[in-house]
Amino acid sequence: MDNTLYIGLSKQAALQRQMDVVANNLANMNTTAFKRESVLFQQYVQDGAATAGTAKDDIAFVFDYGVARNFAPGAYIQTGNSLDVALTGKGFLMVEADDGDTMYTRNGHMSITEDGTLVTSSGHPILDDAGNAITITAADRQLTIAKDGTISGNQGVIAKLGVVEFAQEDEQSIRKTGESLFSSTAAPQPAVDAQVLQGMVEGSNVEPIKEMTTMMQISRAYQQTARMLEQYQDIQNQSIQRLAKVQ
Amino acid sequence: MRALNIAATGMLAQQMNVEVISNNLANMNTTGFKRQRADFQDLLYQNLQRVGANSSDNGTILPSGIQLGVGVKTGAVYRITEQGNLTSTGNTYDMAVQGNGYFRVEMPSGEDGYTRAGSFQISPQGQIVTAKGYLVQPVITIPQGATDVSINENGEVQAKLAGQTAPQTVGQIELATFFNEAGLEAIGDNTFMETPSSGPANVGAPGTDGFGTVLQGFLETANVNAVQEITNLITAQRAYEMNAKVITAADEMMSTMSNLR
Repeated sequence: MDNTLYIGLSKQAALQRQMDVVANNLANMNTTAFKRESVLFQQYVQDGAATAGTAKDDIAFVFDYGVARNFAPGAYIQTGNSLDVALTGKGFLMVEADDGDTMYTRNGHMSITEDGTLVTSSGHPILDDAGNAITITAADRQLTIAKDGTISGNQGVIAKLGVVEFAQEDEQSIRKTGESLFSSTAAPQPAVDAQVLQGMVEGSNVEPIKEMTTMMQISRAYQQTARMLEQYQDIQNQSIQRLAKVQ
Repeated sequence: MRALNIAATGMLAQQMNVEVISNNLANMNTTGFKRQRADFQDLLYQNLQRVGANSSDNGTILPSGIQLGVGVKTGAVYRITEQGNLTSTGNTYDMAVQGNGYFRVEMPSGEDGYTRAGSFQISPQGQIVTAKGYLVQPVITIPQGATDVSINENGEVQAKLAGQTAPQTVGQIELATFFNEAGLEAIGDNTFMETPSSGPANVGAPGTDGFGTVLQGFLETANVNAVQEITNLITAQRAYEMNAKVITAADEMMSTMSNLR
């Protein structure tokens, strides 16, 4: 009966969600190592009522079934800070979360706490290749980080940053948890092609022009749907008035 | 609509970014200034449909969930302690540190302050003081009538005293290094204070292991790169505009809705 209304509603609900995702992408245009997201849509087909003598009409609603994440690398920005690192390839740094779980991040802005632990900007310890926190002692100076993640100072090698990557099939299981952190139920493996670049951070991979055009499309599609709903209501009004005249 | 609030967090973040950039640019010619950088992080995510949840009784799982981000926040504004350029002033008591280390200064409160700005002068008592008149630690007194004051790269202060031909050592400049330089608290006037995060000061002579050297007649300029800051400013301004546009678009969508008959 009111299928037109419901179909329009499903489209508008989906568009609002897409708008939220675009807004989040644009808000994170300058966020270190942010990965852009987009909404995935599909048809949700429902059997329509069959009227005698005609083919059955199927009704297709809009259904947003997921959010896809684009893991393409962002632009690399030179900061000159010896404790900033950027990762190439599909590598992630390992981080210990508050609950003791291992999380992953590509935001390589590191700092040292007063007890010498190497932490992220949100204060989570960064782990070495064996999964232990990294401690820098007061005597270590002139820290250099090699391309394979080895941190060394004037007294020799201190630790090796744990750089891991996820298998192709496990990439879907990666979830964002905020503060530039990712979590996953799948176990990662040591990264093979990832390099660690010292004195740089990875920028956001949001392409503002794409997001702006998507946003325009969203607001136009939203208006069109609203127009369609209005026209449907007009039709209903007319039919009510004309039917009344016939009687 | 979340889009309104999300874009608002974006605008706030870019505003902060512009503030940091403008402070860097304002201090382009400040002696010993270290530029800062704002580091942004995404906010928490809402799981509308959890990835990996069962999609049927047969144990099939959802390959991708719906996670909605709710905006951005400033994670840190940190100081980049890269060496600034050295500029020659020819002034006897101007000193620059090449490498690690800060000059130690006694603040009026009695605490030690630390600075990279070595534009020192002489007090009426002949002591080496900062531009504010604070004593440089350890106190070095230049005897009256001394000429040809020279400071070597190891911080030894030598002067020719009246009636003598050979220069005499009258003092030793010391430098302080920190375990975590980024943890120092800036208090203005080019001065930093020690905090629990920076760790205690480690004092030593210039040129020894882990300490930089002192250069007489030079000052360290700010390590601000104007071109880099201006490009950052352009990016920040455009990002601000785009977030404002999101607010307009979200507002239009809502007004479309409320205008439905």
